[in-house]
Amino acid sequence: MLLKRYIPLAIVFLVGSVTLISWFIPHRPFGSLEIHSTQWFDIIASFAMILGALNLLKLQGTKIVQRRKGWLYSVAAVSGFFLTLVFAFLMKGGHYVVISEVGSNSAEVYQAIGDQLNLPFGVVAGQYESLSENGKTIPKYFYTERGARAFESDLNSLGAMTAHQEVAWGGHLQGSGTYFHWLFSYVFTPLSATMFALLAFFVASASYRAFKIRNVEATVLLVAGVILMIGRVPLGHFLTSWFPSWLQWLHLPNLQEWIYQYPNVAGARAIMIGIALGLVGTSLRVILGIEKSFMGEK
Amino acid sequence: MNTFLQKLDSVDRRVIFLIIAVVVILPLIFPLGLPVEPTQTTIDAFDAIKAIPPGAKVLMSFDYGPSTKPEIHPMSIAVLRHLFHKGHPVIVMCLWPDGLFMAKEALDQVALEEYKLTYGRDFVNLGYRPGNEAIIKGITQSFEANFTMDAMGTLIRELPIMKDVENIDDVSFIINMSAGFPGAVEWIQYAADPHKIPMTSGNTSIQVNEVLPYVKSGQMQGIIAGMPAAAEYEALIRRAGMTDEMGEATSSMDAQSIAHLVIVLFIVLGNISYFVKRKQEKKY
Amino acid sequence: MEEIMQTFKHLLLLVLMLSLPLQAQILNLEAAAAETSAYGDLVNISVTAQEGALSHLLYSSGEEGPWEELRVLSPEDFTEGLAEIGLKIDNYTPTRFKVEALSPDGVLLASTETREAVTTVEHWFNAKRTNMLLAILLISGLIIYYIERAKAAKEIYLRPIAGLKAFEEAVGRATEMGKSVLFVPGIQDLDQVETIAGVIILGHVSKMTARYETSLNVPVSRSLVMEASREIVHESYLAEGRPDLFNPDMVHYLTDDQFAFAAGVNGIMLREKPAALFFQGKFFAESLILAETGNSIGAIQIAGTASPAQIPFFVTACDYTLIGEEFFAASAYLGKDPKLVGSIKGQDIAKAVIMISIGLGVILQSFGFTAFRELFRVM
Repeated sequence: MLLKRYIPLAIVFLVGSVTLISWFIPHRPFGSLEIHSTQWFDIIASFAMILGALNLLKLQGTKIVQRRKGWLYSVAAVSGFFLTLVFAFLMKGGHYVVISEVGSNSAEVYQAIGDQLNLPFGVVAGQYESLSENGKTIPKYFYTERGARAFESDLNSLGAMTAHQEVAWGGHLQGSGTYFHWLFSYVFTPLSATMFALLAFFVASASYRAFKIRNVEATVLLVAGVILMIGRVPLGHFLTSWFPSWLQWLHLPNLQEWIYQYPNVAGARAIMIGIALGLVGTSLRVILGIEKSFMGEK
Repeated sequence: MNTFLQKLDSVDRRVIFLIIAVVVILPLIFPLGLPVEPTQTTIDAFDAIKAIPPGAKVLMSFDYGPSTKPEIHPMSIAVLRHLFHKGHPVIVMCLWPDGLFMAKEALDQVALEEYKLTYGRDFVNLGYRPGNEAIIKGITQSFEANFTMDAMGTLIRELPIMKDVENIDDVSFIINMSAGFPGAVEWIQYAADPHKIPMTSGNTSIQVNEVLPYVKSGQMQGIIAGMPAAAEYEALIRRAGMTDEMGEATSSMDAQSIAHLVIVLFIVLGNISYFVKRKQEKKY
Repeated sequence: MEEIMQTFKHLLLLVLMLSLPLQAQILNLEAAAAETSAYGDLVNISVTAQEGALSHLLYSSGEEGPWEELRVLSPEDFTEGLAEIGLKIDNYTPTRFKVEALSPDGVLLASTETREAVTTVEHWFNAKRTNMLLAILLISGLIIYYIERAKAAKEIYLRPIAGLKAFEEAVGRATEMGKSVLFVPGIQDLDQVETIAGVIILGHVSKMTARYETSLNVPVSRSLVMEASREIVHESYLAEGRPDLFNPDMVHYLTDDQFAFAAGVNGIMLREKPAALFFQGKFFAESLILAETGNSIGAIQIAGTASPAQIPFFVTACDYTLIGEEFFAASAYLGKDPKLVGSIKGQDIAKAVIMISIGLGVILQSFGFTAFRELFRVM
């Protein structure tokens, strides 16, 4: 009972009250308690991610092993998981060449660099004419060392002095020419954007189904919705820009702006006030131990 | 006819999806060139940035990811063009992990390729730090304590742009590009309002409802609300002669306009069908 | 010659001695910790200097630290020979200040420093937040008062909320159809009160599923939420006397990423076709994707969120929606604990106080009395 009930309640009460009071006390250690406690939470949540990952692998792995319905989706999930791990911690790519001396055959060297970078000769010549002691990075990144070495040997055969380098670990997450970056840019980003784009279709089907003139309120909602939808886009301006000055209040963008900034904001504010009170009430109940169901108790 | 109108009420949603797909794709292939006219909130954001004192340092936070990139990235590009055209040093940071990639892409395109600026002097990418609003609170005390190194691994005290920038009070303006939490609301609550630093924000259309009360109360100067506002901002910087490029948001506006019109037509059709059906039910 | 040199030296000394009082009048420096800054770290410095002289303000941190230049005081900083500036220093660090007056040619005319080092510390109470403290005390006091009243077994009326009444109906429907119940407690972590509220509602729903022997599926987006939810569901099943029906894999982790999570939940909905869907917690843009997919499979959907931007989407696509406060009141409705019901009443009274303040503020502001509005400014 002590471990399961009273100690957790005491911890919740202590931490909750101290955090609340510390907002009013600038003196150390209270002044920075809010920042520190948020950071402590983030550290705990980061380590807890391992639990989630293990749970995911366990469930999806069981599905694959037992060949349950939809096991192929689990293969996709597990493969994606391990592929990302490999590209983040084991294989990085990101090989590139640094040129320190162009040599006597400068024209051919510039041409070779321009071919790789898809830049005109003149631009390359201007950029690589004077090189510093440390050389200049040629911003063409290769996934494999072999590719970078091949380019390097092409330049060396033309008389240039070069060195092969790799993007550092850590920087490879956002560096060009790395496997992780490829995965992020060509798999994750399009998939995320696609999921978000689904909203456009769902908004259409939801509007078609839901915006029916059943009563006065629904009618007002419908009219406001139509004005906002058309007024928000260039089409609204196009349709009503010819209105004379005494009818400008009916100009769709103006109407839309008014609805957005006045009735809409008033409603949003009212909901926000209610939500804030609800937050205060729930927090107080949790801190004082009145609400215990989050611990699994009645 | 009546039967057809009644059946409209229960049309398969995939038909709706197909029509939406067609009306979105066609204007992208055959642009209509509808003029983009800026609205007041976007103009307010533009004017607020225009009013930043010359040479003043600006803090820009990239708090969005790839899912909202089509909506927010164009406004990030447009705002960066505006800032760099005016010659402001820009300090970039990210509270979303994916924001780091968005920031790098935007800075590579605008700062390095277009304006040929010098990293560390004209702009810096401090990178991503976990902690959400704790980081905002932290930088009100000290940038260095929260971002000891930038995204490239350089100590920030060695960067010329961070000289004389100890905390957020040393920055003249805050711009937040956000798609959710943490975002504009947290920046206003913990940085802009308590420290009286002017701020504006670019948000997704969905989020604007939550943020607009802060604009109305004067805690934020204008707002770039969704893709239409991104197109408006692109139009404003074009008119000011800062760029000739149309911008991604502007080229998407035709598609969005037609899509909105089609949705309105769907609603009208749906209501006609509803009334016909109701009339029939009353009859029998 | 020697006598002449001696006389010259004496004369010079005399001139210097006579000029000492004049030098003292040229330069004066005072520094003190500012009382107005609750976070300490602010020092008010007053410098009196002869007009025309360039004053360099220096500081030294620590007892024996080197002097470093802080800033140069230009003539614009002075009003009638007095410059008053506020400077930020590190707390708990004794800091000395010195001012040097230089002639236009850079010759040191005079120098003076503070007698004692100034050390700033934070205050124990931020007086600028007194209004917030009073507001919290008032609202908390009201809530606690009504909790105590409710304990005295006074019945408190709560208006019926259709969404909350539909909870049992939804679970019953799933039981009849032999299908599962899907519960999504939002996509944020346990540091959000909405997630805690969602997880509390999960406790009540899992009691119903235990009672009716309906299968429950709880995909989550955060590991900590997974652990907390699992514990709550387990306790609910134990409380209903059905520990045999509990399976830890009922609550499972999908992914942290917002749209990947939406895709995962959509997949579960389309493959398993649950009959009842509960979306209770903090949601963002994925709310409509989830709700529309749920609509497409014909399930009964009950949503609850305190995210203002997502409420319209849930209202459009779901059968029942708990809006804002109703979502936080759900645990009181479902648990029927008098103490929880009392806290809802306290919240309502607090809301009434706020509404009266808003009305009063609008009237006073309209007549130009701005002082009332300033009472609510948060520093």
